Amino acid sequence: MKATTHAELYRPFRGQLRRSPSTALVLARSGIRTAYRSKWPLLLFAVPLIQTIVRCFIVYFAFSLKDSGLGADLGVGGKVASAALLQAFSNVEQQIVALLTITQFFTMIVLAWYGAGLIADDRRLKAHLLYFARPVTKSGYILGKLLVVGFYGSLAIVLPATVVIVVAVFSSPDWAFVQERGSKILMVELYALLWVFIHALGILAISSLTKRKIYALVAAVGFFVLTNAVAAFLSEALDDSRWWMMSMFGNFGALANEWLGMREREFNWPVEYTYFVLVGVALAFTAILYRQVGRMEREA
Amino acid sequence: MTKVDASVTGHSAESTPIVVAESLGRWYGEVIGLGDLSVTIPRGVTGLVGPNGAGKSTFMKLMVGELRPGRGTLTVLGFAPFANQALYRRLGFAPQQDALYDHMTGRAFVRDLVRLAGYSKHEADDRAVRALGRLELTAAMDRPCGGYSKGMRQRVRIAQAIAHDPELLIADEPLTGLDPLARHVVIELLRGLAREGTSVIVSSHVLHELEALTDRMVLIHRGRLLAQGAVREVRKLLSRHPSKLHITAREPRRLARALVALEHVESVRLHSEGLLDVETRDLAAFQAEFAALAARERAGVRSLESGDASLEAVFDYLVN
Amino acid sequence: MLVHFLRSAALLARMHLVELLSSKRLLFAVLLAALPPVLALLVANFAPERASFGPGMIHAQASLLLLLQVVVPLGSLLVASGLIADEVEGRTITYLFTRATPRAAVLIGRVAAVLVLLVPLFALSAWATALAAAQRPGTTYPEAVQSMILAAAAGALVYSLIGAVLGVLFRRALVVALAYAFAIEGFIANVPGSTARLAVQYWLRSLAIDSEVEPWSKMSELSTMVALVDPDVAAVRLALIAVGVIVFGVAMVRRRQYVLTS
Repeated sequence: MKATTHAELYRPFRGQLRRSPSTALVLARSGIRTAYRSKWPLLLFAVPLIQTIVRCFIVYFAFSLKDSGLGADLGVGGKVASAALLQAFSNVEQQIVALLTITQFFTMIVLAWYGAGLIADDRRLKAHLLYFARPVTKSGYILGKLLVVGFYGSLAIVLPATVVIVVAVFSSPDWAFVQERGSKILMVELYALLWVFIHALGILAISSLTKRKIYALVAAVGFFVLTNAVAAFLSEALDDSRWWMMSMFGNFGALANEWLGMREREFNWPVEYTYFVLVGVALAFTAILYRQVGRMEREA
Repeated sequence: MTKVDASVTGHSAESTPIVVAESLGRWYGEVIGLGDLSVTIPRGVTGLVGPNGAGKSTFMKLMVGELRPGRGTLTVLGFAPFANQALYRRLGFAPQQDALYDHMTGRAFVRDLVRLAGYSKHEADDRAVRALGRLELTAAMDRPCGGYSKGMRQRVRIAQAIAHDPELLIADEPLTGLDPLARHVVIELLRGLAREGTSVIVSSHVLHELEALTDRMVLIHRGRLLAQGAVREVRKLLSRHPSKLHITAREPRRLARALVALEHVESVRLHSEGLLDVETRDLAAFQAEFAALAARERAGVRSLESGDASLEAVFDYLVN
Repeated sequence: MLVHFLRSAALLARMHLVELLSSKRLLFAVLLAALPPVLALLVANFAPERASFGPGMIHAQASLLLLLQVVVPLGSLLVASGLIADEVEGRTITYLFTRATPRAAVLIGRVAAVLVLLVPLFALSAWATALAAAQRPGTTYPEAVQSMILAAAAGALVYSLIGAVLGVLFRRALVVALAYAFAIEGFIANVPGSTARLAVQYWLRSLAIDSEVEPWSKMSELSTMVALVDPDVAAVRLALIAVGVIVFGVAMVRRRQYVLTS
């Protein structure tokens, strides 16, 4: 049989590819659906859920009791104490920050669980050869993955914060919460979104560095836990709280101080330093992601 | 689908079954691995045949005690298999999955596993070397398994299963991934083991090679037993399917005219170059009459072969 | 039968030891173990002079905040959770479970290999932390160092056993182990009242810390922690936990079926 080539069948493409702006959304939608197939990891949301319910009750009862004039029958000391208690409980930002502080590790696990394998598994299974054989750009790919892990992270942080705010809005007498502290609502949402964004970016960057989800997961959790522990030790040992800037916990603590008026810990540095650290960290994670995904794209 | 049983009976000493399954069932959540399998496997070499998802691997995992039955009973060499040390002394299992301890040499891998059976270090090493030699891995046995080719890895898996001289070897798709030379080595090994008295249960998709190894089959489909016994015996029992034969002759038309006149012949198809395809309802009658008919017609018959006594054809009939 | 069990366990321990020595998990554990002494050395040499922050306090801080709370649980669980789980994922568990070897011997043997490496590793880390802290002039507390070495060793033992048993029960054992060690224990160990006694961390701290004496009495972090018990009581409790965990693990590994994907 005579061998022939069929060069004449392959004509160069001279049209224009329609760059669908929704490539990232398509990837995100499919990623979210795929992750949802496994139901067991939803148990990770148990603690944030419980904390949300607890905080909602605290806020609701605080506003209700405030409205009903609790402590009116008490002596001066009692009145002062009950007023301070109600003030603390009805400080919605404080409740939300407390919620985030208590659940942050669970939220980290949620992000790590849903995010650690997103790029690592693609590398291991060589799925990137399929992705980048289609008109998917690096940015579209990264954004799509980010939206997946961001979605589940938001369920663990942004949604609980929003629920507590909604309860506060409806339970505060005469919409007092909106009137007096309406600007804080936006800050709280921004704070929660930023938390999810930075951590999600970090987890994806770590995921892009390995081919096994389990290693990415451990590295992600280890990175955040270790930086926290080292920051705590060094800040105490060197008597300088600026060492807390090593950890995301410390930086978000400083942000909470600035944006939400918290004083949970003494983070004695100008908040601009925190902005600088967070921007630097985000840029570093983004650079890692683009470098690694670029390699995957070239492989394809 | 009709369940067909054409088990071959042998001498009483050898007819003690090695595997007895009664209403065996195993499922994975909602997926049925095995539905309702009742089968008796005698000593000797038995092939386990079925398409992907039929339940062959599940059945093997149940036989080697990796899994427990969801229902029914199963005994292997008289033992309930799950985590049964007494059985494992007499059983060797070569799994399908390509998984080895890549950091270990082939020799160390087989030797250490043999040592777990209770042998001394020296004896375990001897056995390991012998087993690897039988699979023509002597030259490579001191290299790490991570550097082996797919075929070598397959052979190492078989080596660890035979090194302790088991009474029964269960091999899950041992021929998969092997080049023709390696396949020949493995088939010869399995034949050798059978000659030495080791019973072998082997599954494979390579049906013609399985047929070369044994004519005793257990056919499984959708978690149930389709048929068991010698392939030809099973074929005979499939009366609703006419037997197919391929004949080549110098005078095909003359022969075809004569064959069509036979009552039990259902169809005759003429192809080019003297080839005829004949379907007959009664193979025995056809065989009795054909020689005389061919001589009478002076058809110059060159060849006569069965078109559907193969395992593949039998399986096809049973499944469809 | 016991001889065969022990022989099998010893052989499996040796097999796994060789594998462990070249594994990434162990490398990560070693790096983790090096962290507290390295940081203690940095602090000892570069921290500003403070009367209240001598070598004893550096050692106490590094040991409690880093070694006991993070390094020991993380390192032990990382290495031990893969004992059975890695075999299942790598689909090599078939070879071990189709031998004339008790399943329990597989678990015990491999756990033994891990303990032989990790217990001395983290004990050494505790000792090295004290040594590094001692570079700073000031008072050292040998008893505190000894009790911390013991606590680090005990922590390695208990967390390794917990990790191993989690590996028997779960495919994604490491995730469960981390969630347990840092989320659940981190929460429970700091809840006031007797709830804290459900956490291994509580008993380890009780073993290591005598809050009546220095340097512990000067540590501000301890004032916010739940009141600890006597070290002898803690030692017994930890031993009971270890025995309970391994007995449970043995019972589970004997019954468990592992469905391997092709």
